[in-house]
Amino acid sequence: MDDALLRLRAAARGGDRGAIHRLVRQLQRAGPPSRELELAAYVLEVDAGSLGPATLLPRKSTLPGAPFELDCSLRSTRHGLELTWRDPARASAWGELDASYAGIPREELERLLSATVQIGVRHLVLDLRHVHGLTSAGLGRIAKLKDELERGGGSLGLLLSERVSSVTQMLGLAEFLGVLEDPGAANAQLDAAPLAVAPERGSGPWLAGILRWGARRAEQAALCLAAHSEPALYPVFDAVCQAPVDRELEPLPTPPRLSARGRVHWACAERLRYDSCWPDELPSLEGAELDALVAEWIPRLLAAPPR
Amino acid sequence: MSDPDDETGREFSEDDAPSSDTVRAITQRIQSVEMARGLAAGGKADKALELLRKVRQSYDDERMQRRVDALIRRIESGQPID
Repeated sequence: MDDALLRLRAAARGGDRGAIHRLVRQLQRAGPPSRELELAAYVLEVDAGSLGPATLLPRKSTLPGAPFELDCSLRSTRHGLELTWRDPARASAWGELDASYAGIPREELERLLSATVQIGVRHLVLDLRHVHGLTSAGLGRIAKLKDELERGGGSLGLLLSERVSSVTQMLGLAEFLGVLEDPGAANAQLDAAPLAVAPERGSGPWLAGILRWGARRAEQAALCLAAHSEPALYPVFDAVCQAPVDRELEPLPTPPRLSARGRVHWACAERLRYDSCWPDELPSLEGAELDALVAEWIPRLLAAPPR
Repeated sequence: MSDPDDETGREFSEDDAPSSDTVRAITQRIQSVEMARGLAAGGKADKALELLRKVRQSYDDERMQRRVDALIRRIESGQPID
Protein backbone atom coordinates (compact mmCIF):
# COMPACT_ATOMS: atom_id res chain seq x y z
CA MET A 1 0.00 0.00 0.00
CA ASP A 2 1.50 3.33 -0.90
CA ASP A 3 2.21 6.11 1.55
CA ALA A 4 -0.42 8.40 0.12
CA LEU A 5 -3.13 5.85 0.71
CA LEU A 6 -1.98 5.38 4.30
CA ARG A 7 -2.12 9.13 4.90
CA LEU A 8 -5.55 9.27 3.38
CA ARG A 9 -6.79 6.48 5.60
CA ALA A 10 -5.33 8.19 8.64
CA ALA A 11 -7.11 11.41 7.75
CA ALA A 12 -10.34 9.49 7.27
CA ARG A 13 -9.98 7.80 10.66
CA GLY A 14 -9.44 11.22 12.23
CA GLY A 15 -12.82 12.27 10.86
CA ASP A 16 -11.47 15.61 9.68
CA ARG A 17 -13.36 16.22 6.45
CA GLY A 18 -11.38 19.34 5.63
CA ALA A 19 -8.13 17.37 5.95
CA ILE A 20 -9.49 14.59 3.73
CA HIS A 21 -10.50 17.09 1.14
CA ARG A 22 -7.15 18.89 1.17
CA LEU A 23 -5.26 15.63 0.97
CA VAL A 24 -7.34 14.34 -1.91
CA ARG A 25 -6.75 17.56 -3.79
CA GLN A 26 -3.01 17.39 -3.13
CA LEU A 27 -2.91 13.82 -4.34
CA GLN A 28 -4.86 14.63 -7.45
CA ARG A 29 -2.36 17.31 -8.33
CA ALA A 30 0.68 15.24 -7.51
CA GLY A 31 0.50 12.87 -10.45
CA PRO A 32 -1.10 9.64 -11.50
CA PRO A 33 -2.23 7.81 -8.35
CA SER A 34 -2.64 4.10 -7.95
CA ARG A 35 -6.04 2.67 -8.72
CA GLU A 36 -6.56 1.88 -5.04
CA LEU A 37 -5.78 5.44 -4.06
CA GLU A 38 -8.09 6.82 -6.69
CA LEU A 39 -10.91 4.60 -5.56
CA ALA A 40 -10.29 5.42 -1.90
CA ALA A 41 -10.24 9.13 -2.67
CA TYR A 42 -13.45 8.76 -4.58
CA VAL A 43 -15.17 6.92 -1.77
CA LEU A 44 -13.84 9.23 0.92
CA GLU A 45 -14.88 12.32 -0.91
CA VAL A 46 -18.44 11.11 -0.83
CA ASP A 47 -18.05 11.03 2.90
CA ALA A 48 -16.25 14.35 2.98
CA GLY A 49 -19.34 16.05 1.65
CA SER A 50 -17.72 19.33 0.66
CA LEU A 51 -15.59 18.97 -2.41
CA GLY A 52 -14.31 22.50 -2.85
CA PRO A 53 -14.48 24.58 -5.95
CA ALA A 54 -14.08 22.08 -8.74
CA THR A 55 -16.51 19.40 -9.76
CA LEU A 56 -14.32 18.02 -12.49
CA LEU A 57 -10.73 18.60 -11.64
CA PRO A 58 -8.01 18.10 -14.20
CA ARG A 59 -4.74 16.79 -12.87
CA LYS A 60 -2.81 20.04 -13.18
CA SER A 61 -5.41 22.12 -11.44
CA THR A 62 -3.80 24.88 -9.44
CA LEU A 63 -5.52 28.16 -10.10
CA PRO A 64 -9.09 29.38 -9.96
CA GLY A 65 -10.68 30.03 -13.31
CA ALA A 66 -11.70 33.40 -14.65
CA PRO A 67 -15.44 34.11 -14.62
CA PHE A 68 -17.06 31.98 -17.20
CA GLU A 69 -19.24 33.74 -19.69
CA LEU A 70 -21.31 31.72 -22.05
CA ASP A 71 -21.04 33.15 -25.50
CA CYS A 72 -23.34 32.37 -28.36
CA SER A 73 -21.12 29.73 -29.90
CA LEU A 74 -20.52 28.08 -26.55
CA ARG A 75 -16.81 28.13 -26.99
CA SER A 76 -14.66 29.00 -24.07
CA THR A 77 -11.21 27.76 -24.78
CA ARG A 78 -9.78 30.11 -22.18
CA HIS A 79 -11.50 27.93 -19.63
CA GLY A 80 -10.29 24.73 -21.18
CA LEU A 81 -13.87 23.83 -21.86
CA GLU A 82 -15.19 23.76 -25.37
CA LEU A 83 -18.70 22.94 -26.36
CA THR A 84 -19.51 22.86 -30.02
CA TRP A 85 -22.58 21.98 -31.96
CA ARG A 86 -22.26 18.65 -33.69
CA ASP A 87 -25.49 18.66 -35.67
CA PRO A 88 -27.94 21.44 -34.89
CA ALA A 89 -30.71 19.61 -36.75
CA ARG A 90 -30.40 16.86 -34.18
CA ALA A 91 -29.64 19.28 -31.35
CA SER A 92 -26.44 17.38 -30.72
CA ALA A 93 -23.20 18.75 -29.37
CA TRP A 94 -19.74 17.67 -28.32
CA GLY A 95 -18.23 19.03 -25.13
CA GLU A 96 -14.58 18.61 -24.27
CA LEU A 97 -12.71 19.50 -21.14
CA ASP A 98 -9.07 20.22 -21.67
CA ALA A 99 -6.62 18.86 -19.10
CA SER A 100 -4.50 21.99 -19.31
CA TYR A 101 -7.24 24.01 -17.72
CA ALA A 102 -6.60 25.07 -14.17
CA GLY A 103 -9.87 24.08 -12.55
CA ILE A 104 -13.39 25.15 -13.28
CA PRO A 105 -15.30 26.49 -10.29
CA ARG A 106 -18.24 24.24 -9.64
CA GLU A 107 -20.80 27.00 -10.11
CA GLU A 108 -19.42 27.80 -13.52
CA LEU A 109 -19.48 24.22 -14.65
CA GLU A 110 -23.01 23.86 -13.32
CA ARG A 111 -23.97 26.92 -15.31
CA LEU A 112 -22.39 25.64 -18.48
CA LEU A 113 -23.99 22.24 -18.24
CA SER A 114 -27.38 23.76 -17.46
CA ALA A 115 -26.94 26.17 -20.33
CA THR A 116 -26.38 23.31 -22.75
CA VAL A 117 -29.88 22.10 -21.99
CA GLN A 118 -31.38 25.57 -21.91
CA ILE A 119 -30.09 26.50 -25.33
CA GLY A 120 -31.52 23.34 -26.79
CA VAL A 121 -28.76 20.71 -26.75
CA ARG A 122 -30.51 17.36 -26.47
CA HIS A 123 -27.78 14.89 -27.35
CA LEU A 124 -24.41 15.52 -25.81
CA VAL A 125 -21.10 13.71 -25.69
CA LEU A 126 -18.93 14.94 -22.86
CA ASP A 127 -15.34 14.18 -23.71
CA LEU A 128 -13.40 13.94 -20.47
CA ARG A 129 -10.56 11.77 -21.72
CA HIS A 130 -8.04 14.37 -20.59
CA VAL A 131 -9.49 14.55 -17.10
CA HIS A 132 -7.77 12.09 -14.82
CA GLY A 133 -9.73 12.69 -11.66
CA LEU A 134 -13.48 12.68 -11.28
CA THR A 135 -15.04 13.37 -7.93
CA SER A 136 -18.25 11.94 -6.62
CA ALA A 137 -19.90 15.34 -6.92
CA GLY A 138 -18.75 15.47 -10.53
CA LEU A 139 -20.27 12.08 -11.18
CA GLY A 140 -23.44 13.22 -9.42
CA ARG A 141 -23.66 16.29 -11.60
CA ILE A 142 -23.12 14.22 -14.72
CA ALA A 143 -25.84 11.79 -13.66
CA LYS A 144 -28.17 14.74 -13.08
CA LEU A 145 -27.36 16.16 -16.51
CA LYS A 146 -27.97 12.76 -18.10
CA ASP A 147 -31.34 12.53 -16.38
CA GLU A 148 -32.20 16.06 -17.47
CA LEU A 149 -31.33 15.30 -21.10
CA GLU A 150 -33.13 11.97 -21.15
CA ARG A 151 -36.29 13.52 -19.73
CA GLY A 152 -36.24 15.82 -22.75
CA GLY A 153 -35.82 12.88 -25.13
CA GLY A 154 -32.07 13.34 -25.40
CA SER A 155 -28.97 11.43 -24.40
CA LEU A 156 -25.61 11.86 -22.74
CA GLY A 157 -22.50 9.90 -23.62
CA LEU A 158 -19.27 10.07 -21.66
CA LEU A 159 -15.77 9.53 -22.90
CA LEU A 160 -13.47 8.99 -19.94
CA SER A 161 -9.77 8.44 -19.46
CA GLU A 162 -8.79 4.81 -19.03
CA ARG A 163 -8.20 5.35 -15.35
CA VAL A 164 -11.49 7.04 -14.59
CA SER A 165 -13.30 4.64 -16.85
CA SER A 166 -11.89 1.64 -15.00
CA VAL A 167 -13.06 3.13 -11.69
CA THR A 168 -16.58 3.60 -13.02
CA GLN A 169 -16.48 0.00 -14.31
CA MET A 170 -15.34 -1.25 -10.90
CA LEU A 171 -18.15 0.63 -9.24
CA GLY A 172 -20.68 -0.64 -11.76
CA LEU A 173 -21.52 2.93 -12.78
CA ALA A 174 -20.38 2.83 -16.40
CA GLU A 175 -23.73 1.95 -17.92
CA PHE A 176 -25.64 4.19 -15.56
CA LEU A 177 -23.47 7.17 -16.52
CA GLY A 178 -23.50 6.37 -20.23
CA VAL A 179 -19.76 5.73 -20.52
CA LEU A 180 -18.82 5.04 -24.12
CA GLU A 181 -16.01 2.84 -25.30
CA ASP A 182 -14.32 5.19 -27.73
CA PRO A 183 -14.91 8.27 -29.94
CA GLY A 184 -16.28 6.00 -32.66
CA ALA A 185 -19.05 4.86 -30.35
CA ALA A 186 -19.65 8.48 -29.33
CA ASN A 187 -19.95 9.56 -32.95
CA ALA A 188 -22.30 6.67 -33.66
CA GLN A 189 -24.49 7.69 -30.73
CA LEU A 190 -24.72 11.27 -31.97
CA ASP A 191 -25.34 10.16 -35.54
CA ALA A 192 -28.19 7.94 -34.39
CA ALA A 193 -29.92 10.84 -32.60
CA PRO A 194 -33.28 11.63 -34.16
CA LEU A 195 -33.91 14.93 -35.85
CA ALA A 196 -35.01 17.55 -33.35
CA VAL A 197 -38.46 19.04 -33.39
CA ALA A 198 -38.34 22.67 -34.50
CA PRO A 199 -38.14 24.92 -31.43
CA GLU A 200 -40.98 27.21 -30.63
CA ARG A 201 -40.66 30.62 -32.19
CA GLY A 202 -39.09 33.12 -29.77
CA SER A 203 -38.04 30.41 -27.29
CA GLY A 204 -34.50 30.10 -25.94
CA PRO A 205 -33.63 27.19 -28.26
CA TRP A 206 -35.04 29.13 -31.22
CA LEU A 207 -32.90 32.12 -30.31
CA ALA A 208 -29.86 29.90 -29.90
CA GLY A 209 -30.65 28.38 -33.28
CA ILE A 210 -30.63 31.65 -35.13
CA LEU A 211 -27.58 32.89 -33.22
CA ARG A 212 -25.70 30.02 -34.85
CA TRP A 213 -25.88 32.03 -38.04
CA GLY A 214 -23.75 34.71 -36.40
CA ALA A 215 -25.13 37.41 -34.13
CA ARG A 216 -25.48 40.17 -36.73
CA ARG A 217 -26.94 37.86 -39.35
CA ALA A 218 -29.32 36.53 -36.73
CA GLU A 219 -30.44 40.04 -35.89
CA GLN A 220 -31.27 40.88 -39.48
CA ALA A 221 -32.88 37.53 -40.02
CA ALA A 222 -34.99 37.90 -36.87
CA LEU A 223 -36.30 41.25 -38.06
CA CYS A 224 -37.10 39.85 -41.49
CA LEU A 225 -38.76 36.77 -40.05
CA ALA A 226 -40.84 38.94 -37.72
CA ALA A 227 -41.86 41.40 -40.42
CA HIS A 228 -42.87 38.72 -42.91
CA SER A 229 -44.57 36.57 -40.34
CA GLU A 230 -44.24 33.41 -42.36
CA PRO A 231 -43.16 30.28 -40.46
CA ALA A 232 -42.01 28.58 -43.64
CA LEU A 233 -39.37 31.26 -44.09
CA TYR A 234 -37.34 29.86 -41.23
CA PRO A 235 -35.91 26.87 -43.14
CA VAL A 236 -35.00 29.22 -45.99
CA PHE A 237 -33.00 31.40 -43.64
CA ASP A 238 -31.56 28.37 -41.93
CA ALA A 239 -30.34 26.95 -45.22
CA VAL A 240 -28.78 30.18 -46.40
CA CYS A 241 -27.45 31.63 -43.18
CA GLN A 242 -25.46 28.54 -42.30
CA ALA A 243 -23.28 29.17 -45.32
CA PRO A 244 -20.20 31.32 -44.79
CA VAL A 245 -20.66 35.02 -45.33
CA ASP A 246 -19.17 36.31 -48.54
CA ARG A 247 -20.00 39.83 -49.57
CA GLU A 248 -17.89 39.44 -52.69
CA LEU A 249 -20.21 36.92 -54.25
CA GLU A 250 -21.02 37.68 -57.82
CA PRO A 251 -24.65 37.67 -58.79
CA LEU A 252 -25.48 34.39 -60.38
CA PRO A 253 -26.95 34.47 -63.86
CA THR A 254 -30.68 34.04 -63.58
CA PRO A 255 -31.60 30.57 -64.77
CA PRO A 256 -33.32 30.57 -68.17
CA ARG A 257 -37.01 29.88 -68.69
CA LEU A 258 -38.07 31.13 -65.30
CA SER A 259 -41.65 32.09 -64.73
CA ALA A 260 -42.43 35.42 -63.14
CA ARG A 261 -42.80 33.74 -59.74
CA GLY A 262 -39.62 31.77 -60.38
CA ARG A 263 -37.75 35.04 -60.86
CA VAL A 264 -39.16 36.24 -57.56
CA HIS A 265 -37.85 33.07 -55.90
CA TRP A 266 -34.48 33.62 -57.44
CA ALA A 267 -34.30 37.26 -56.36
CA CYS A 268 -35.28 36.35 -52.82
CA ALA A 269 -32.67 33.64 -52.61
CA GLU A 270 -29.96 35.92 -54.03
CA ARG A 271 -30.82 38.64 -51.57
CA LEU A 272 -30.69 36.17 -48.74
CA ARG A 273 -27.31 34.98 -49.88
CA TYR A 274 -25.90 38.50 -49.80
CA ASP A 275 -27.72 40.02 -46.93
CA SER A 276 -29.26 37.34 -44.74
CA CYS A 277 -32.37 39.37 -45.36
CA TRP A 278 -35.66 38.93 -47.11
CA PRO A 279 -36.14 41.62 -49.75
CA ASP A 280 -38.49 44.28 -48.39
CA GLU A 281 -39.70 45.26 -51.82
CA LEU A 282 -40.71 41.79 -52.96
CA PRO A 283 -44.04 40.17 -52.23
CA SER A 284 -44.37 37.41 -49.71
CA LEU A 285 -44.27 33.91 -51.06
CA GLU A 286 -46.75 31.22 -50.28
CA GLY A 287 -45.83 28.06 -48.39
CA ALA A 288 -45.39 25.90 -51.50
CA GLU A 289 -43.25 28.58 -53.12
CA LEU A 290 -41.04 28.77 -50.07
CA ASP A 291 -40.69 25.00 -50.11
CA ALA A 292 -39.57 25.26 -53.73
CA LEU A 293 -37.10 27.94 -52.72
CA VAL A 294 -35.53 25.65 -50.15
CA ALA A 295 -35.58 22.58 -52.34
CA GLU A 296 -34.52 24.10 -55.63
CA TRP A 297 -32.86 27.48 -55.48
CA ILE A 298 -31.03 27.52 -52.20
CA PRO A 299 -28.90 24.41 -52.93
CA ARG A 300 -27.94 25.93 -56.30
CA LEU A 301 -26.93 29.18 -54.70
CA LEU A 302 -24.90 27.52 -52.00
CA ALA A 303 -23.15 25.32 -54.53
CA ALA A 304 -22.16 28.28 -56.69
CA PRO A 305 -18.40 28.85 -56.72
CA PRO A 306 -17.18 32.13 -55.22
CA ARG A 307 -15.68 34.70 -57.51
CA MET B 1 -13.87 45.77 -25.67
CA SER B 2 -17.17 46.31 -27.34
CA ASP B 3 -17.61 48.46 -30.36
CA PRO B 4 -20.21 51.17 -29.62
CA ASP B 5 -21.39 50.96 -33.22
CA ASP B 6 -22.15 47.30 -32.77
CA GLU B 7 -24.27 47.93 -29.74
CA THR B 8 -26.37 50.45 -31.58
CA GLY B 9 -27.13 47.98 -34.31
CA ARG B 10 -24.79 48.79 -37.10
CA GLU B 11 -25.54 47.38 -40.50
CA PHE B 12 -24.32 43.88 -41.04
CA SER B 13 -21.24 43.85 -43.18
CA GLU B 14 -19.33 40.71 -42.37
CA ASP B 15 -19.57 38.07 -39.77
CA ASP B 16 -16.50 38.92 -37.76
CA ALA B 17 -16.62 37.71 -34.19
CA PRO B 18 -18.58 40.28 -32.20
CA SER B 19 -17.74 40.97 -28.60
CA SER B 20 -19.84 39.45 -25.85
CA ASP B 21 -21.33 42.89 -25.12
CA THR B 22 -22.36 43.14 -28.75
CA VAL B 23 -23.87 39.67 -28.73
CA ARG B 24 -25.76 40.56 -25.57
CA ALA B 25 -27.10 43.78 -27.12
CA ILE B 26 -28.11 41.95 -30.29
CA THR B 27 -29.72 39.16 -28.31
CA GLN B 28 -31.72 41.66 -26.27
CA ARG B 29 -32.96 43.39 -29.41
CA ILE B 30 -33.98 40.08 -30.97
CA GLN B 31 -35.78 39.14 -27.78
CA SER B 32 -37.55 42.51 -27.74
CA VAL B 33 -38.70 42.04 -31.33
CA GLU B 34 -39.94 38.54 -30.53
CA MET B 35 -41.69 39.81 -27.43
CA ALA B 36 -43.37 42.48 -29.52
CA ARG B 37 -44.49 39.81 -31.98
CA GLY B 38 -45.96 37.81 -29.14
CA LEU B 39 -47.76 40.86 -27.75
CA ALA B 40 -49.18 41.72 -31.16
CA ALA B 41 -50.29 38.13 -31.73
CA GLY B 42 -51.97 38.25 -28.33
CA GLY B 43 -53.93 41.34 -29.28
CA LYS B 44 -51.80 43.81 -27.36
CA ALA B 45 -50.80 45.88 -30.36
CA ASP B 46 -50.23 49.08 -28.37
CA LYS B 47 -47.68 47.49 -26.11
CA ALA B 48 -46.04 45.76 -29.07
CA LEU B 49 -45.71 49.04 -30.94
CA GLU B 50 -44.32 50.78 -27.89
CA LEU B 51 -41.66 48.09 -27.56
CA LEU B 52 -40.81 48.15 -31.25
CA ARG B 53 -40.38 51.91 -31.24
CA LYS B 54 -37.85 51.53 -28.45
CA VAL B 55 -36.03 48.92 -30.48
CA ARG B 56 -36.13 51.20 -33.49
CA GLN B 57 -34.55 54.01 -31.49
CA SER B 58 -31.69 51.73 -30.53
CA TYR B 59 -30.65 51.39 -34.16
CA ASP B 60 -28.47 53.99 -35.81
CA ASP B 61 -28.58 52.28 -39.13
CA GLU B 62 -31.36 53.34 -41.44
CA ARG B 63 -31.78 49.94 -43.05
CA MET B 64 -32.29 48.25 -39.72
CA GLN B 65 -34.77 50.97 -38.77
CA ARG B 66 -36.65 50.28 -42.00
CA ARG B 67 -36.92 46.63 -41.09
CA VAL B 68 -38.41 47.52 -37.74
CA ASP B 69 -40.73 49.92 -39.56
CA ALA B 70 -41.94 47.06 -41.75
CA LEU B 71 -43.01 45.16 -38.67
CA ILE B 72 -44.56 48.29 -37.12
CA ARG B 73 -46.57 48.89 -40.29
CA ARG B 74 -47.74 45.31 -40.31
CA ILE B 75 -49.04 45.58 -36.77
CA GLU B 76 -50.56 49.02 -37.31
CA SER B 77 -52.43 47.77 -40.37
CA GLY B 78 -53.92 44.94 -38.35
CA GLN B 79 -52.38 42.18 -40.45
CA PRO B 80 -52.26 38.85 -38.62
CA ILE B 81 -49.07 38.08 -36.73
CA ASP B 82 -48.35 34.41 -36.30
